[in-house]
Amino acid sequence: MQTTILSFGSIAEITGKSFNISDVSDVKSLKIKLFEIYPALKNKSFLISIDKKIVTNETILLHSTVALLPPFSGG
Amino acid sequence: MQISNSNRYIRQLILKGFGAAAQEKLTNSTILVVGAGGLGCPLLQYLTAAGIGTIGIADFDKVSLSNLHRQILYTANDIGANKAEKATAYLLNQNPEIKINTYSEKITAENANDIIMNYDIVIDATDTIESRLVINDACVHLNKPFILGAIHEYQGQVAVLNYSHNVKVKPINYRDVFPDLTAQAKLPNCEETGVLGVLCGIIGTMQANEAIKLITGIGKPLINQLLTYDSLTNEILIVDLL
Repeated sequence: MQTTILSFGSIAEITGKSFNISDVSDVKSLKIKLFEIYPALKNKSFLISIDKKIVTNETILLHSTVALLPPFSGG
Repeated sequence: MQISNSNRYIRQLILKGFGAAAQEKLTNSTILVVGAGGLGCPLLQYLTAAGIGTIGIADFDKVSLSNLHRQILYTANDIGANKAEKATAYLLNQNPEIKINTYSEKITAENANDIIMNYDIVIDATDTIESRLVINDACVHLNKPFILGAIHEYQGQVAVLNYSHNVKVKPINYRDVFPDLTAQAKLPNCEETGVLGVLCGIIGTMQANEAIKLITGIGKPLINQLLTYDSLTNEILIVDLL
């Protein structure tokens, strides 16, 4: 199963704005896979939203919209 | 404070769902804007024009030439002057009917409570995590809503945090949203990554809009939600933080 991930801010500089990731069924397995593919993410603070809700360890369904949202700082 | 008898606000008074009652709420409201830079300049202009009764402006920084492409309250003649003082002078000219309190010192953990306690709403228009956490912590301590705005390159974020009035859910604050952030966290700011002035205008104006909605009770403010706007694609993502 392929899941499309949207990245924002400094996270997108590492992953690109949109990318696919395969065989992740929940947030925990998503994080493991993300850190494996993009080790630089380990040092980053970011939220994970699924279907427009911030989640900790929810199931990722086939058509879930997943987003990685870091804090922005500029003003 | 009395609502102006002039027709200064007539175009918003005649708006359906707004009217004199909403204008009176704006007139009686107090808002502190921390940071009179890229976000602070546009939002201060709109809050001033809309008739917020009392506005506090806090900024210890001085105007520099590299500010002028986005910090539209200032001119080349203001270079070297304190931003809070220059913004105050401009805005009182724009709307002499409001009151402005000027804070030209840095907001720190030592003075934050004494300043923030005088306001209904705090708007964060700063550019460091350290400042944001100081403001956040004082807002949590004093139970004040806190309107976040921040920029990264072509994208911006807006959120209404720590808002508890008439809301049954627990107020969420910035430390709840990003619990692993510390005051020492080094996130890139506009000086390092660059920014177009129009994005500051869009995000700052969104913050002003959220403040007006909170005060007057119109619409659906971004309470416990994080909005992310991409100026290159015009895409907006709003996520629930709870």
